[in-house]
Amino acid sequence: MYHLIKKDILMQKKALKLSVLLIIFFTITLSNMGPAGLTVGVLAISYQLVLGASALEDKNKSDVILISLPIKRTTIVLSKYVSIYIYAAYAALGFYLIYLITSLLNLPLDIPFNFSGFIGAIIAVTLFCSIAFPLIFKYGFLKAKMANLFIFFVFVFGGTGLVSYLNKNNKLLMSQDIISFFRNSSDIELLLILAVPLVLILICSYNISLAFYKKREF
Amino acid sequence: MNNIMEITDLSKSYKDFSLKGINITLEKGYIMGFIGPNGSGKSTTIKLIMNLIKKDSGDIKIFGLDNESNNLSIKERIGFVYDENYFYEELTVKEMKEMVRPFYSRWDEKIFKRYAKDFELPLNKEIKHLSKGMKMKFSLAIALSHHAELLIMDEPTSGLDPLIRSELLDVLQSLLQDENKSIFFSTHITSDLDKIADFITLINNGEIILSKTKDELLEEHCIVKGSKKQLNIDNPLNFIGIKQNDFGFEALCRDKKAVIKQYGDSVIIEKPTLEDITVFYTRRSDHHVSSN
Repeated sequence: MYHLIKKDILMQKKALKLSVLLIIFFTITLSNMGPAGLTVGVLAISYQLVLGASALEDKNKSDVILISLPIKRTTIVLSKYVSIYIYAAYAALGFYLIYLITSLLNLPLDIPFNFSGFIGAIIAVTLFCSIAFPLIFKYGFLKAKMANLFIFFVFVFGGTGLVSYLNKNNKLLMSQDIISFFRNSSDIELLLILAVPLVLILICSYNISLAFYKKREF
Repeated sequence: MNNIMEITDLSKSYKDFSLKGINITLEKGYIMGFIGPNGSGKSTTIKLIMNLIKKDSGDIKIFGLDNESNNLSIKERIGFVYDENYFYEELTVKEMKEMVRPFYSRWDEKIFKRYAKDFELPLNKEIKHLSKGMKMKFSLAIALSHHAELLIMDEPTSGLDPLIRSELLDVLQSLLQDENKSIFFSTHITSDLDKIADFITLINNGEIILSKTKDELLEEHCIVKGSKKQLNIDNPLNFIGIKQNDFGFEALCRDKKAVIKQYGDSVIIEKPTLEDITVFYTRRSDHHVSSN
């Protein structure tokens, strides 16, 4: 699995360079969104890299090679799911480094880097990929492209729209609520409340992807 | 167990094409040429062997094992070369090799290095910048570097220049000195097989037309050339296929003695090439007769 993920990263050398610029760009443009900015930023970078890898896979028709090698289909599918978090961690690290640099240099930028933004990013990336991957494993990247783009925008505009709507209407300050909720909950409670449904969604998505991939013909 | 590959009653249907219960047996230590026109079912058969598509019915046994339930252990022992490049074009030759290598428990880096040197593979070049011939050589180097006992090749020579084709054939021939290796080689360029194949299997329209040793095949068939008048004899021979033009006819026949008996010296009898056999058996003609 390690070698499959490494391959995804190696073949995206250009995309990785581009993502550094994107991280800087998002840091500036999303800085007024608060923690949601980090969430959107990490989601966007992960989206770029996850789908970028699938696009190259599709372009090269490389599933033919992967299936012809002695590799289990479970390994191929699982490595894609694991790679999500590597990209997300990479993006988060990028945002964090810029956050560090700007605070060290006292630059007049309000970089939103905090725990709730990061957790939000993990949730968003997990949910996004849980929907996107089964489509990719069933239809291939190209056929699933429009659907995935649509899902991405629903996530970004839907999510941020929802937060600003709730903020504006003062009905529920979600980010505040999350922070106070985190403060008041124990670690185990938090872990269960957030991790259990996420893991369940991931497991379901993984199994659906695997079932599709096992049936897929090349 | 002398049969390295055994395909029994294998079927696969698509909307516009179907593989109709084919049977193929390949013995250990031999090269089988798998020939037939484009769209005859060669690639479908190879995809089924490699588990890239699902069969409708039938059995595929490789090394005596079912190819679906023993997928991984079989693939460890198979090398494959396909008609086009499916490698990641964005990776360098070396990066691609490093990706493939850990999946084969019997990977032999020394062999890879030797082929890389012999083929002059540019290890640090991205695959997208390699020529078609170089991509095929790289594919072959990967296929040969893990002590594969069976090589599956799907039109590896298509689109290659004669020099690289002959280089490839030389490599395959030298490989066969190891009696434990077998090669299943699909192609529509039959001249590739004149030199190296032991067995020939001809497929057309999803059916196996014939499958036997190359020598037997060439021995028992003959090309008959004569004038048009001679065709109008009341009891024409059981020709497999006939080509006619203003000057005369050319036909493929299975029974040389019968030809001599009927025509004597009045026709020319020649030894056929594999191409003649393929063309006469597979061209859409009313004279087509199956040998099985």
